[in-house]
Amino acid sequence: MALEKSDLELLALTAAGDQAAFAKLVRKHQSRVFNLIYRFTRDRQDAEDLAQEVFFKVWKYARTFKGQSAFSTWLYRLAVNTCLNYRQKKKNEPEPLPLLGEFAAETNAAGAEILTRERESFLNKALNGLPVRQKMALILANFEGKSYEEIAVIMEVSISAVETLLFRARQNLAAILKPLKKKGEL
Amino acid sequence: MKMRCKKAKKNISLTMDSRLESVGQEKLQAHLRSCLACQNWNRQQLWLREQIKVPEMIQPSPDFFAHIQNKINKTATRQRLFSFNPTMLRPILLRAAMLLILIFAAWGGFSLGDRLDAPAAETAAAVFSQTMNLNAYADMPAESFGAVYNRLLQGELQ
Repeated sequence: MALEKSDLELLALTAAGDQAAFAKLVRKHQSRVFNLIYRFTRDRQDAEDLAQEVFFKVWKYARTFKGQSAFSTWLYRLAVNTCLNYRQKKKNEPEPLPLLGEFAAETNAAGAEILTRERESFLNKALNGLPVRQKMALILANFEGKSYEEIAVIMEVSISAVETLLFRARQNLAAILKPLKKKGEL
Repeated sequence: MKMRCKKAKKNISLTMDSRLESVGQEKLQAHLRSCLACQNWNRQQLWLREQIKVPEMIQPSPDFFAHIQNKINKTATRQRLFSFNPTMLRPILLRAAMLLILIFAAWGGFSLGDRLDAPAAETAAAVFSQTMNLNAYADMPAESFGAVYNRLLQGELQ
């Protein structure tokens, strides 16, 4: 049985223009990259487009990878930067949080299932209301299970900056959701 | 020293990521026992963490890789048609530079050669005559200075 090639070997072949090796690399990591981006954008189509952009960058810049960090760290960094740029581009069209009154009216009229869905949607919007770097740090820590050291490398900040980003993200999220919690709607 | 609420909240955040060491944990627990606001904040954070979880991994569409491949192919075609890659031009530029150096050297050689050519004999004589102002002696006898001197000595000339 042939041994599976490592990420670095596949990347070296990709850098030499081997599309089959690149396909293997994409299939191996597409789910992880796609889910990270999906958690950030909360939009399937956008997540798919951005994940494709990330892998396109892998193809384009494979030659520039110097092996100073693990391939997965490099891939995460590409994904994180793509997400941050996406938010920068989308800044001109902000997604407003729904008014509390509107939310209450909708939920009163609907059943428990809709209430759950609405709650999820509201939480998603609250997450989208966080500053991008705080949100990304929260996703990496809570959903991706990354350590502070890994987050620091991926986001190119210090460990104490990661601590601050996460603390502020949690503080801001609590502040955004506090009114609803008080009303008993969450 | 008693822990302040801001520090306690920071430590709650660290605890959620298992980053707080045992001494800090003890201090935090002591603070939480006596501070209702921080207890609420702690509960709120634990609740939030549960709420914002995305339980299952979702998969991208089946044609995910095909889209990337299309993008790569499109870019490659565009690059072949329109892109300017300076490294491709390096050998041509080197040859052009060498040719220019040769042309310049040849032109310089010809131009300097013209300047350094020895002048013709008549030209040289005329220039010498002019330089020495030989016409100043035109009214003197057409003999050498030696002959004139001898004749002066012999008294033939006054």
